[in-house]
Order: sequence, then C-alpha cells, then structure tokens
Amino acid sequence: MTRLNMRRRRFGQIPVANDPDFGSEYRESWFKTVYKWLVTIDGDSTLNEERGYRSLPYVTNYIFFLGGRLHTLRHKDQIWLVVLAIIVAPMVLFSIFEANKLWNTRLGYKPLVFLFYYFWTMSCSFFIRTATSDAGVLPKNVHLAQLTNRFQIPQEYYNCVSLPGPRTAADPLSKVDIKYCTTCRIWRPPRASHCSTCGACIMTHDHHCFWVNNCVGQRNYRYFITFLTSTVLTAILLITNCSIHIARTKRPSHVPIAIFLLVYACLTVWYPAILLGYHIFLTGTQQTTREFLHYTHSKNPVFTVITPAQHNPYDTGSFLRNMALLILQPRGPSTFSAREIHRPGDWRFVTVPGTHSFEKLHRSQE
Amino acid sequence: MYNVLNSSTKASDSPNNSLADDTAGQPVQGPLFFNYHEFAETFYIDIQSDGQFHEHDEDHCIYMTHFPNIYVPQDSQEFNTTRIVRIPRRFDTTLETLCFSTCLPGTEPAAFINPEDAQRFVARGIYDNGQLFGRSSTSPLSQYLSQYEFEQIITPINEILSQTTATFTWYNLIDLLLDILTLGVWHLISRYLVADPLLRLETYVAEVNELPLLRDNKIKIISPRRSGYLSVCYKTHSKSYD
Repeated sequence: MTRLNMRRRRFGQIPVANDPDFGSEYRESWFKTVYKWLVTIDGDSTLNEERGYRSLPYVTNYIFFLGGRLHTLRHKDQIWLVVLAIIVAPMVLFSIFEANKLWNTRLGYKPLVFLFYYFWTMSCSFFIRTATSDAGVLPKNVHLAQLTNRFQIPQEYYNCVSLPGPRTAADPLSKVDIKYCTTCRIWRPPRASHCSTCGACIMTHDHHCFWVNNCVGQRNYRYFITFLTSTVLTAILLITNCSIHIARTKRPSHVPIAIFLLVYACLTVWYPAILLGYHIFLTGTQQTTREFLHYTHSKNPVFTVITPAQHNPYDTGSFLRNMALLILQPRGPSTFSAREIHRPGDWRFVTVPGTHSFEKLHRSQE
Repeated sequence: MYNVLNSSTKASDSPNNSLADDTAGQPVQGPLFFNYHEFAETFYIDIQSDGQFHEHDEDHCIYMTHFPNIYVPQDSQEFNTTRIVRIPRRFDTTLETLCFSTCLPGTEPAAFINPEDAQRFVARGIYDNGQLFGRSSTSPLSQYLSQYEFEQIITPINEILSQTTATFTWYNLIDLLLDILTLGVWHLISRYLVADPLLRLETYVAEVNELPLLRDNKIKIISPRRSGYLSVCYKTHSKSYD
C-alpha cells in the first residue's frame, strides 16, 4: 500500500483490502514506494487500485520510470541506449575539440555552431520522447463480449468487418476494415494494430522500432519524424563545420578529430536520411509502414518501391495533404495513461482467460 | 424474419463478399453499416420454455445487444444490476476525426430486424448470466430513447470530437511548431497553460446525464474517455431473469 492509498484509506475513500495474500494489515514500506516510483518492472496484480504505472506492467510488456513519465520494454535488448550513445558521442567530441575554434573566429561561423547544437538538442530530445513516450496504447477489455464460458469470444468477432468509408467519385464503394483484437478484447479502430512486443494495441500503428525499443504510432509519429529530420540536419551541420575547420587548417593531420567527425557524420547520415525519405513517400501516399508491408507482402521496406495502395480510403489524392494528415495528426489523448489513477477492480488491468473455445469450434463444425 | 444482411449485401466477413457482383448485372453496392458489437447466439434458454439451454436454428437466434458493465468491478453489486449498450464508431462521413454512430441500436442500415417486434426490445431468450435478449438488433435502450432523442445526444459528441481531433486547426499547427522550436519544452508547460480541449466533452456528458430523460430512466452515458474513445457506452439497468 502506498502512502497515497494509505492517506485515501484513512479518509475512508477506499475500503480496506481483504487480500488473502497480504492481509488487511499489509503496509508497503516507504522504500518500496520510492523504488516503484523510480522504476516499476513488474505489475502488482494484488494492488489493482493505484496509478497506471503500477498496474500497466501486469498487462503489457512496459516498464516505467519516474512515476510513469518514461517507459521502455522489459526483456528486450536496450538498443536505444546504443543509439543514444551514437547521437551523444559526436557532440562531446565536437564540443571538446571543434566548437571553441570555430566560435572564436571572426569569419561568421557562430550561426553554424549554434545551429549544430540546436538541432543536436532537438534530435536528442525527440529521440528520447519517441523511445519513452506513449505511442498510442489502447485500453484492454473495453469490449468484453460476454461472461459466459469464461468470457468466450463469439465467432463473429473473429471476422474482419468491412464498414462503409467516405464515398468519393474516385471510390464510390469505399470501405474501412476493422478487426477485434482477441488479446486486448477491443474492436480496434482502423489502422490500429496489436504489437506483440509491447503487448498492446497501438493507435495508427506505423511499426515497432527496434532502434527506439518502442512502437511508432499516432502519439509519437510526429516525434519520430522530427527526430529523423533533426538528426539529418545535425549530421549535415557537423559535416559543414568539420569541413570548414579542415579547409582552414594548413595541415589536415593537425585536426584528426575533425576528420574523424567528418567521416563519422558522412557514414551515419545515410540511415536516418533514407528512413526519412522513405517515410515522406509513405505518408505522401497515406500509408503506414505496416500497411505498406502488408500491401506489398514484403519484409524489407527499404528496398521496396513505394507505390500508392489501391482502394485506400485515406488517400486524398494530394501528396502534400496526405503527408500533412499523417505527420500533423493530433496526438490525441492518452487512452491508457500510466499517470492516471484508476479504481480498484478496473477491468482494463484484469487478465481475462485465453481466447480459445473448443466448444464453439466444435459447434461451428457441425 | 427479415434480415437486411441476408437480403443484398453483407457488411462483414471477407472484403469481397461485401460487394455485389456487377458482372452479373446487379447494381454495385458497398458495405452497409451495422453495430459490429452485436453477435448472435443460438444456444440459449427460451423465455417461454422449461428453463433449460437448447440449441435453436439460425432463424431463431437471439442477438447480444447489451454487454457486461466493465466500468465497475466484477465483485460490485452494480456489475450485476447494470449492462452496457455500446454505440460503435462509424467511418462513412470522415476518417480524419472521431465519429460515433447516430443510429439508435437496431436502426442501422444493416441491422437485424424482427417485424414481429416493430423496433421494440422484446425479450425472447435468456443468456449470459440470466440476461434477457431479443431476436433483433434493437437494444434495451430503445425502451427509453427514440431515434430523434438519441441523435440529439450523440451529434454534439461528434461535433466536439470533430473540433478537438481535427488535423488542420490553428491550435494543432501552432502546438506542433512550438513543440519543435522549443525543443519539446512547450509540451511540458502547455499542460499548465492550455486546458485539455476534450474536457468540453466531459462537461457535455455530465450535463446530459443530468437530463430527466436519462436520470429518470436510470440510464447514463459513460464518458468516451473511459473506453479510450472506442465506443460511446450507455449504462442501463439490467433486465435479468430471476
């Protein structure tokens, strides 16, 4: 029991728990409360009356830090820390060996140095936000069908449902497909998808990014695009600054760090640049990465030519409008917030029995 | 029993069977809208029978139009005495903003209609812990609200959501620009400076719940925030068979 709940209980706002494992005398130590606030790795199924960050790890694969302000995934290689090091390392070297020399010349290089730091900070900030923020996790068990047969999922819920989409002259039979998530027990909105790595359904799911160890979805897609753009600009500015320094030096062997940073930036600029270009063309045709790979039946997005999908109800016909609709789409509210206080017995944090029903299968074969 | 889904097009299953074959000279029609939350059940207790579960043919199935109240704990009394009627999202007007169905359950273009019941909820079977269900898509909500009243309640919800979730608004563009230019600092401070626009919806739902139409009939709208804006849920009192 946290101090918050102890206080609420003292004022009679919540009943005393009668949990057989803990007993009504159970009191969580202040050390555990502080520790759980700093990092919550495992969900607390017995304390289903807390903030979301205490309960969400029980039904998803997220672990939370600083009271649910940041998250990452458990049981996964923390590759995002390596990526962060790749972003931080050149800035440290540039600050130690290059910045001072360029800043103190009277040849007007100060704006270039300033812009490098500005875009580097932007890159770092939006990388952390892409990696640690809510991608658009949808709540669980909201569309529980029935109590019968241990919450059995009806056969109709296994169908892909086609509903009418906005009809246009180009596509008078426009339709939108939606599916029921048998894991999360919700009718997923269009473009949402279940990520088995995160263990949750994500709104406008683009892809699960191995490098940021998080999904890229509706609530962090703009951060992801900003991160890619600022990373490319940072690398270009690093190339520019180091090139100027090398050009102004009589013997390039005197500036080995500038040469190293130049090579480093030339090598590292390509991956985010290709990824950014790829996402610009994808958004221009109103496709998410997931939809595109599904449409082309490909597993390698980078080497696949991007073509508009047929009968795409989201395609407005305008490249710029398409791009704006995906990149500028509002983040929307956090629908399964780690910071929110929830009530005891909240169904969103309950693990309902599995989806298989042999009785139903047997009956459907008759 | 007249069944719209069987008559011309079926709005579910595979994408292809939702379109009529134009090569056979039939008029081409897209899928029709229906409440995708509902489902049919053939193994239930007939309300006028011996109280035992029996298998029925498909023409005599019952339709699940109300669901367990997942907004209260399972061990609470309210869980046993209330049910939820779910209003689905629809996508035929726009895909850019959130929009919920303005059709009272049972009046959708592809709803299952039982002419004997005349758009009224008539209990025919018992299922799911003693709950009563009918043989059409008409839900218990039809006992309390007319189509007109229902539409009057849902339309403002759609309007508020349309205004607050639109992409091309000055607020959204300025919010995005400030967030990028301030390197993310705006995101941290904006929550203290700008009120959540979706709070308007919370206020509206609270006001609607105070209307005599809902209060006197002991029905209540659950804020869409609680369902992650996946559906609008009406809480009705349970009509269970004792």
